[in-house]
Amino acid sequence: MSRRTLPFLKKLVPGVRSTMITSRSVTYMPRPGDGAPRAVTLIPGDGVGPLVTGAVEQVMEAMHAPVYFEKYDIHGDMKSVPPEVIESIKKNKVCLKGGLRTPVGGGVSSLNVLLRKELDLYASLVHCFNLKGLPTRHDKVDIVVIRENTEGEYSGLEHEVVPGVVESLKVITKFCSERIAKYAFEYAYLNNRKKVTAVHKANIMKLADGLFLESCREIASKYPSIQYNEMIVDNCSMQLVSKPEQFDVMVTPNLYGNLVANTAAGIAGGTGVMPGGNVGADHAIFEQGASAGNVGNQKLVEQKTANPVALLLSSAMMLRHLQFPSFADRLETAVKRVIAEGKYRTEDLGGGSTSQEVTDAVIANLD
Amino acid sequence: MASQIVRRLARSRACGIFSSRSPSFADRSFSSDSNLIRATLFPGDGIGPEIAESVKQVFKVADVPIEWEEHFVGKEIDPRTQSFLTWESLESVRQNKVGLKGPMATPIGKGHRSLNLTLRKELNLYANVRPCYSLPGYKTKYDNVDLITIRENTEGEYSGLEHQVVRGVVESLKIITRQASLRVAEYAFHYAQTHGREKVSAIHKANIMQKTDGLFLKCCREVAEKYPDIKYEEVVIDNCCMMLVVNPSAFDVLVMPNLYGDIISDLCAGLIGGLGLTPSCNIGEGGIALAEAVHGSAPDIAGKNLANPTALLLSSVMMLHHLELHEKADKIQDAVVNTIAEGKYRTGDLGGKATTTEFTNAICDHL
Repeated sequence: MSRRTLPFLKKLVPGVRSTMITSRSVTYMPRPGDGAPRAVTLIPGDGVGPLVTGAVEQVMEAMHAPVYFEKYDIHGDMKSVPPEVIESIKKNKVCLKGGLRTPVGGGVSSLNVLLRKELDLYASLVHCFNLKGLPTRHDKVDIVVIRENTEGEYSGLEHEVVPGVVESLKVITKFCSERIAKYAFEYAYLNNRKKVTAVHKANIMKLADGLFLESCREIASKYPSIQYNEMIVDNCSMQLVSKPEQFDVMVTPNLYGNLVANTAAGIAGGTGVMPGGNVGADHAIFEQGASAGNVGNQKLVEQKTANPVALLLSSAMMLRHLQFPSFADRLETAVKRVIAEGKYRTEDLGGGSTSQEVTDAVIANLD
Repeated sequence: MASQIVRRLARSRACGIFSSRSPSFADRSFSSDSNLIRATLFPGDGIGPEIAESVKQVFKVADVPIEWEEHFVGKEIDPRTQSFLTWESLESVRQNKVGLKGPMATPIGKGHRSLNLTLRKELNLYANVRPCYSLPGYKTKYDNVDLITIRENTEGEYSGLEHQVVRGVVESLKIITRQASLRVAEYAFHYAQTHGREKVSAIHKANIMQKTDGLFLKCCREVAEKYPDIKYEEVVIDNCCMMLVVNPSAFDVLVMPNLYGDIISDLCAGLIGGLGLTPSCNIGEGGIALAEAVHGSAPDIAGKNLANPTALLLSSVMMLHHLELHEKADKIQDAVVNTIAEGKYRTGDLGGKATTTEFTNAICDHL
């Protein structure tokens, strides 16, 4: 195993640099036929969506990645997702999405939420980490937020009791809480993560969040090597802005996960660079990790200065998910080089480049 | 700090308009300073009594015309209030209309309501106001914070209405009413006007919770029309969280429903240095104002003269502003800020070695 030989090698050759660890010393052995191109559904979406998915398409082409895209044109103000899109995702099992803008208060349910419910993508994962060369107020941030994606406050069950009084139902079930807790601990186990924090407000919502915590505790007892702790959501927000290095993996119900993911993305460098995805038992949709407010931003669309980094890193996640590790590594390395160099950065990172310039820089930096 | 001076000038101009317009917030005649104003004081538990002493000392040296009426939490449950707070204490706040509360630790047990819940329900405290501004001299990673969070305190997600539908399925009700939303929006705009603030942002998630947060937004819009010279905007909560950690100076006054308010106000407290420095004030029907320190009772340092009275002092400043004793309020606030900025006398939690009494004396010297 490479991990055992490396320290041994370091003792023999005292000058071995740490870059040896990043390059693979034992190769990935595919099965015959694994190199056949995989179909991936592509949904450009609204606003900046087409810009950033265009960037991904260009980079995939430049890499000659064994992936081809089946593009579908849907927009956030449609009433429901067209059945052919759902069929395509069910067939391909993997989808890449730009972003669908939900009209505020417009009586149309969010298509993002509908897609997740239809395909039962019950876990949303956002990886927030510091990128070298990107100055932020906090260092040592490496947080993965795993958020329950189907129930909770986003059940969409609202009604007007009498005029002027509206009720909204927050639903928490043991089934959903258990499976998200299982996913979080399994993720931590498979990725060698040391700690899982459950975020809740069970001191006020004793039954609802209490049920969530109960499920988390049960699953935690099955993974004794992973540390588990619980934190109330308001304390968690305070800790995130003062000491984010204490967090590793966080598992949360739906609404808190949204807030925590966006806060974590903000402290690690902004929502323009954080990758993420939604995964269920059978399908996965990769998209920008925390997409607060970016999708409908008209100025970004007009000036073509949307940041493609988040979706490029998400597509690297997708390549790894599809078991093409060397393509994923090449893409990730190229993006990190461009960020570290600092010459080509979009406006949200403090630069003045357009999306196309950043994309070209990434292609130029591909190994 | 310059912005604070501008705000004070604007406020003194606005007050002239204010006092003629809405009598409900000041329905007592403050004819001259020789009339002592009675205010209720709950020293609380743990470090409560020590920091309450600090406040009393500072007020005496500053010559504030307040007469304190102290009340303590009882040792037995009062059947009239179903909690450890006596009926007399609550009546006293109702009559005096202003109060200051130290940290209270709710005793564990059944058969009684939590102290905070009792106060909230009995006094009908509908808005929680928390100003967060960076203290010059106490450096955090965020320097330019100057915002106020106003949180609806009675309904929303914290209505406490939960039930188990069947085993493993729990429902929790979130209630939004027109009346409560209008009330808190009115207070927010009124506060913005009387304190010289330029912008009010309503925080919501109306793209997902269309009816509930939609109703909240509708009420805010109605009130915004009555205050044409104050800018009004609506921000989705995940976008707000992200912007707060990237650029907190983009916000001025934030008004939001209960749960979001809880999370955002604690997030903002984290930006400026934690709950030990954050003032807070609860506004009730009929012009009641109960200022409180939101930190815990810190039983481990109780009685050792190590506690930091800053939060309670700044909360008492808010109380003075509510009573329109603006000059005294500004004097005390300046004294506190300057003492911390000077750095010679700082309590343990701010990284210094001074005791509570030394810190208080330093503040009195600065007056």
